[in-house]
Amino acid sequence: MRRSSVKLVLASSLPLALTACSAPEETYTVSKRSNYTTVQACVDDKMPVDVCSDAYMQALADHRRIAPTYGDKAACEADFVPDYCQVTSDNRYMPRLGGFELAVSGEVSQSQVDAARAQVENSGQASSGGSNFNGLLTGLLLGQVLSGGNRQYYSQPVYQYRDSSGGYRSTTLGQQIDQGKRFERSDQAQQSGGSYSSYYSGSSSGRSYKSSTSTRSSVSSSISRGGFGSQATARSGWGGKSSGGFSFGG
Amino acid sequence: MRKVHCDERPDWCATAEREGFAFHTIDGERYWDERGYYQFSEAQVSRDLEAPTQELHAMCLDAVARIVDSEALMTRLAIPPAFFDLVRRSWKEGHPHLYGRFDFSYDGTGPAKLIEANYDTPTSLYEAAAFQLIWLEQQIERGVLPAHASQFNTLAEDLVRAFAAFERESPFYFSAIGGSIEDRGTTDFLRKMAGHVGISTRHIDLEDIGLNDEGRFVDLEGRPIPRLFKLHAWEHIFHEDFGQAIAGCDTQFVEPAWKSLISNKGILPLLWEWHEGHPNLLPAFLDEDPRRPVPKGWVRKPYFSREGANVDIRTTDDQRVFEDGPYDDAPYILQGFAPLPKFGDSYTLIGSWVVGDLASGIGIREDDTLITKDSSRFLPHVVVD
Repeated sequence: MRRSSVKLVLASSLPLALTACSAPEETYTVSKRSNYTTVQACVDDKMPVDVCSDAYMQALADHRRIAPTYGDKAACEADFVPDYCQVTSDNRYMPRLGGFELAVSGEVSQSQVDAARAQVENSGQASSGGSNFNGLLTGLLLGQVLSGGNRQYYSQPVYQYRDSSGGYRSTTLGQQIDQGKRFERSDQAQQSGGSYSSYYSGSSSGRSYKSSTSTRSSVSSSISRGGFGSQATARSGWGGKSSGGFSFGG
Repeated sequence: MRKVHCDERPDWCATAEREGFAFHTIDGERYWDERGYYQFSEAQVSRDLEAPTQELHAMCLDAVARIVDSEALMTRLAIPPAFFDLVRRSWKEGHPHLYGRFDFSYDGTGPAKLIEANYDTPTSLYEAAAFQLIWLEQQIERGVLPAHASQFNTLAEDLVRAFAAFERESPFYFSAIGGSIEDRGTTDFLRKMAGHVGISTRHIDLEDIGLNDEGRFVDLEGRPIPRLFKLHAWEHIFHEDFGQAIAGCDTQFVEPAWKSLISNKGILPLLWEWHEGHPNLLPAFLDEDPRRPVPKGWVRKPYFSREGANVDIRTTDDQRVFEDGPYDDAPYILQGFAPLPKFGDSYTLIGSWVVGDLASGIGIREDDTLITKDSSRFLPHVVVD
């Protein structure tokens, strides 16, 4: 009479398949965030051209939706940089789109990390722990994220402004708000009780616009739960059994 | 077939704990009971259990093929009309299934009689596939059982083979009602078997499954669920909020919806109608009037009962054995009474497993009454000539 090998069922036994494809495996999120002034600059940075152009289009759409507008040019340029604001069709002033920030993130498995680590070590370009090591490792893993299935892109408009020492910088509105900027003379701030940031945080900039294989739902989608299990739960506990040992199977 | 009393392993409890068999004792009562085992001859197993299991499985699949083409039959099986298409499509498109269990009344002589088919959400899988196998290996090693002793038990091997037919690219989610240790034991064991072929698995409690506004089922992080093993009966799903979202979603359900036709006790009268007199079938009919007393020598069962609930027996000598329960909202059948054999003080039921399309092994349950319930003890078996 035939029986299975006990090795298949022992708690201590490892999966038969190679560890590299076994489950569950630890995963790591690899992400990269960069600012580009043009689609070409993005492509030159070895990002896929469709990703770059979609990122730009998304940023432009968000720019039109959320950029602060002002009643006069001087107020606008005080928040950004000189000669930077343009007049809109309804005679307000708004900053020009200074480019876009593209963030890529995706998951890699422990075995991908291990393989990439070995590859960097063997390449002789950097020693483990060296300053260059992590950069090379991240680059390698990012390449795998970009060519793999489980990746997600975010894009946001960026604008030029002057930092506290007077230098020109390009960042997103969110980062400027985080650094304490209030855009208090903007139309949006004046309509929201003096606070542009409350307007901004409600506008959901930085949405995910592309999920390569739809393996992640978009951030804005709503999810309902609890639609499975009510029938079994309604019948549970029959016969006075405690829930711990109760089976809903059979 | 005989029951042999034997000493339990002094370390059985520690072994169960180490192996992750969390429900070996339920409410302070033994669930796993190795103070005895059932011994079969090779012929008893292969001729009386394995071959009929294989044949009944083929008869059930044949029945499904006939039922899905008949709205009258699906109506008779209490499938809600809104789900006719889902059930039919899951069969016509060949959605794969994993496992099922026939419950037999068998005493070692004569044909095993099919009491019911648990084809959608069977449990007691871990103890049949794993813990009784570990028991056997240890008892052989310790000289308690002879080296040529074996079991009818290729469950683990057959499950691994069944999982190998699934693609490995995307994760496979396994779900059970939150808080049920026994159900979780079943799904965790299945995950382990899937892991052997490199399938990446994740657990999610049924109640945590989400439905997003694109009509896809998602996990707690909002990630789509490409494949879902659900230890949750289709007849429940048909009446739950998310049931109607299944037709339009892209999740592959295991067991597939067509299994709802076999796990339904309404199939027993159909099998009898189409194979009347088959040695492994008991006479069975739709119960036209469930309010009248059960006739002598018959058993009344609802279409959808589990763990012996709502089963009403009237023995040939006019004894009534009744198990109350919550499944009183569906049609009933009447089935000829085939008393479970009595070994000592216990009534014994044989669960015969099908994995993929193969008869794969047996597990034995004992109860102090004629009705096997979720609290019935699980005993190991041995095949030896």
